[in-house]
Amino acid sequence: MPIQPAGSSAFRARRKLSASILIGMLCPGLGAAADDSSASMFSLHGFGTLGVVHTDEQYADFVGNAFQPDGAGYTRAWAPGVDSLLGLQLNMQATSQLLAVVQVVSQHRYNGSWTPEVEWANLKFQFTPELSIRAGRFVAMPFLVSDTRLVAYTYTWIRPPIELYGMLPVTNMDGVDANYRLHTGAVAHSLRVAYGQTDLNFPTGGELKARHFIQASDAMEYGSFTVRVGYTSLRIKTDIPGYEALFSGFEEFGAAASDSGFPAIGAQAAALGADYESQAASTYSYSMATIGASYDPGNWLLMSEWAKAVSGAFLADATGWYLMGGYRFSQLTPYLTVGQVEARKKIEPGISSAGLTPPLAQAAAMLNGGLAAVLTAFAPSQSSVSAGIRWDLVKDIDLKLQYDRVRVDSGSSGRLQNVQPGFRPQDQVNVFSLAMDFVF
Amino acid sequence: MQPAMSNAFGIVAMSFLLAGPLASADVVAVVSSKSAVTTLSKSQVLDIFLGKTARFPDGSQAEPIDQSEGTVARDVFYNKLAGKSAAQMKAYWSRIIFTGRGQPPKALPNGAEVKKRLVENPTAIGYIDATMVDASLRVLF
Repeated sequence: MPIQPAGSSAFRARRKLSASILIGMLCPGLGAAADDSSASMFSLHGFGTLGVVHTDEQYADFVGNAFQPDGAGYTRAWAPGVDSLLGLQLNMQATSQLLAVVQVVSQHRYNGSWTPEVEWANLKFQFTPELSIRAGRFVAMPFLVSDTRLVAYTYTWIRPPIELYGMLPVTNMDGVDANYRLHTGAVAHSLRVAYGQTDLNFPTGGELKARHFIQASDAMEYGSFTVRVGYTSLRIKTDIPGYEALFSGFEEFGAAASDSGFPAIGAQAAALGADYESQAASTYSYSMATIGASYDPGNWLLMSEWAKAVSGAFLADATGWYLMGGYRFSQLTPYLTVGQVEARKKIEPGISSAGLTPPLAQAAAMLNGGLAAVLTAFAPSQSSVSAGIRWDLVKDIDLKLQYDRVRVDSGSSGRLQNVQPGFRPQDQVNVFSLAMDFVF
Repeated sequence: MQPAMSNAFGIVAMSFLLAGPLASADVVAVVSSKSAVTTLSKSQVLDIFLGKTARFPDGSQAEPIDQSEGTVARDVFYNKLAGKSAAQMKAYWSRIIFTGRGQPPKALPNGAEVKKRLVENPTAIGYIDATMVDASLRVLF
């Protein structure tokens, strides 16, 4: 697989190229899709969500995922960018065995824009009815509903529980995957293995490169039961502006403290800075095991997922889960969800400032504060209780209303963004969301 | 706001009314009487219509034929076999389509068209109102 450096012009050019290929393909596709009785090789599909979120929190933003630069709360009282998106997908069945899929999605991006991006562009070759191999850009599937994470019409919530789904917010990867279906008795298995990579940008200007991105899963269906076990592993390299300055600050402080007659504290600070500097520059591993189950016999709907992530560098190990239940009364489906993510934040006392002169103590406190902020950002812990209702209004359109009561753990900012000095973690955050989902 | 609300309630009331005929119509799964398939369980038929298998149990290719969205036969068929409403079926196929895993079966506008197709093609399988069955077809259940 070619290694594409993130942010390089070659990488950007490739994204642009894919978009223009799609536009070229859409034009013949549009006419063909209108006549669905013909055995056309093209089919055009679309999906979208128009949503708005309101929260009473004033010192932080509620966001849909870690890539959104702002959301509802501190930045604006009513935020359309948390859930709204529009996607177009073109399937081209070239032969009975070869399928090309291109999906373009416009959503609230890390840089605040809504520029459409190529979410998928892949070729799938169906060797047998049981075995297929796909190459290109395709869906990343850490969780049960990851495969249609962006198509909210396909699930009951306004958005999958952010406690669990935020543990790996990646939606696609570039690489190769294989899918194999088999039966063991009455249980139908869908086995999948994938290998690839992806590059991500964070609103703060940080970049993340995921390499050796491996996923393996088995989705087992038995009657109304689905059980899915999955494993994801990747190698992460982050480049976050400000980190190098912070950690070299520790080393500079160390030299200054030693010069001022505090050699022990100076050495400790320098060692701390060097340690974190090397962590920040390192490529570290992230692995996650997941198990999810759903029971969907008709009117009842029960779902639960659990995941445990183990990570290197300053990204904390975490455990997340949720449990949801719903009942369908004809077109109305009320539902309840509880979810939690608990990250084991690394205990870091920082520079011990005992006995330092006031200016040095002040500098030490600033550096310790900076380090604590870094560790907090990489250790989100929160829980939430949600109640909502889905209304299948008319064919292909639903309306959803959801209330989330989020409680962020002390010493954490949870999954909130743009956290301000006045933010108090343990207060509950009330979030109201309204959305209309559609497919066409 | 007022007219929109009453419209919305009208739609709900209509959908409850539309649910009425579901109970009365009797829809049967059928193949051509020339088909090699003689018996299939409900779950085997469902697997074919949900795209979970492309073959009959004997290994031969199966061509499922749906009726168009919004037809009573279609709603009764999936309600009876899978306990799923039209909206749930739409959500199911959206999941398949938007993952590039497949396409729903070819759909024909009514039972008569399905019958014609089955008679022409012994590998096809469909469902029609029980009153439309004749000697050219074999009822599976």
